[in-house]
Amino acid sequence: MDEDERLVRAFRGGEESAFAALVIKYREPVYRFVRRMTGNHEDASDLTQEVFVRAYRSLRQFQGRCRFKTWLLRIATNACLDHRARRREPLTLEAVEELAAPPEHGPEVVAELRERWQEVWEAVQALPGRQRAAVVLRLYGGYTYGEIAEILDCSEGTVKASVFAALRKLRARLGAPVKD
Amino acid sequence: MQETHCQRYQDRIVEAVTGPVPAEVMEELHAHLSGCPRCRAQWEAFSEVVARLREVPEPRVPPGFWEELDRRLQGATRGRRGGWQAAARAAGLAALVAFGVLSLASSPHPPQDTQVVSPSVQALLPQVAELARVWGAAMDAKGEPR
Repeated sequence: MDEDERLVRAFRGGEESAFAALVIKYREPVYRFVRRMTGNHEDASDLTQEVFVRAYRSLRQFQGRCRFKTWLLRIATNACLDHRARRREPLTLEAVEELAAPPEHGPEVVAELRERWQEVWEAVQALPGRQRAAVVLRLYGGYTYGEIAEILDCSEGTVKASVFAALRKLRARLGAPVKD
Repeated sequence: MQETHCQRYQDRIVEAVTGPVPAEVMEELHAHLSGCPRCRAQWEAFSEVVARLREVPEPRVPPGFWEELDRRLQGATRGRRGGWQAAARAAGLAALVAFGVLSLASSPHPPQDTQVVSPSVQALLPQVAELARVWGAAMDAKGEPR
């Protein structure tokens, strides 16, 4: 039994502090995933809270058919997709200045780098939800295709097809499109 | 015929440009790419896109965000099985237990064959000690967490 299984079992047995330990362990990967999915800290902040509240409420029904981590990221993915679907106002994208500390280069190089990052940040946000999730999980989260298939509740082949379609769209937006 | 043949390699290209693949898969892919300009162009195009995506740095977490999140979760789960508040109290208690365990462990005559803390609680001690610190800070700052 791995650490997560022990903690889940302890929580289900009445040890509330086990859930606190799971939050501390996974709050950072969940937040970083949600931030990349939403494109801004404000939404990521609210959604990270929502993910853990949903997990807290449904952990007793967790069947253990997949790992806790992938179960949690499935909740996070669904929360992000629901959030985008019910959004009425235009998408608010943070400027890359808020994204990271300025790189250690001269001002011209910094401006150029930020422009490139901003293009990528916006291009990722323009992807359809599940393609965006697959790309973010793979390229920024480092998850395997098997794990992503568990998270998105589909086959590995479907995940690869989603990433393939996403890369074509990103290529078309960021550079010369891929020829058929 | 060539179309079907190349489709076999689409998954391989996606796998290889987005992460490490076994050496034999890479060898097979390179063998195909060396004789197929269309797939090679796709490989190069995807490699460029992936490199650009990876240029974007990891978003920084605003200072104090984890503490804010813990306070918000305390509020959101309040009233459910004692909720986060109870967990935080348990965290504080566990931190006290941890202190006791460490004191006993450093004693010149530690008691033998005595299970002071269960293994599941022992595994939690580093994390709950952090939560206890957050809880204490929240109480100090506002008298009562949100």
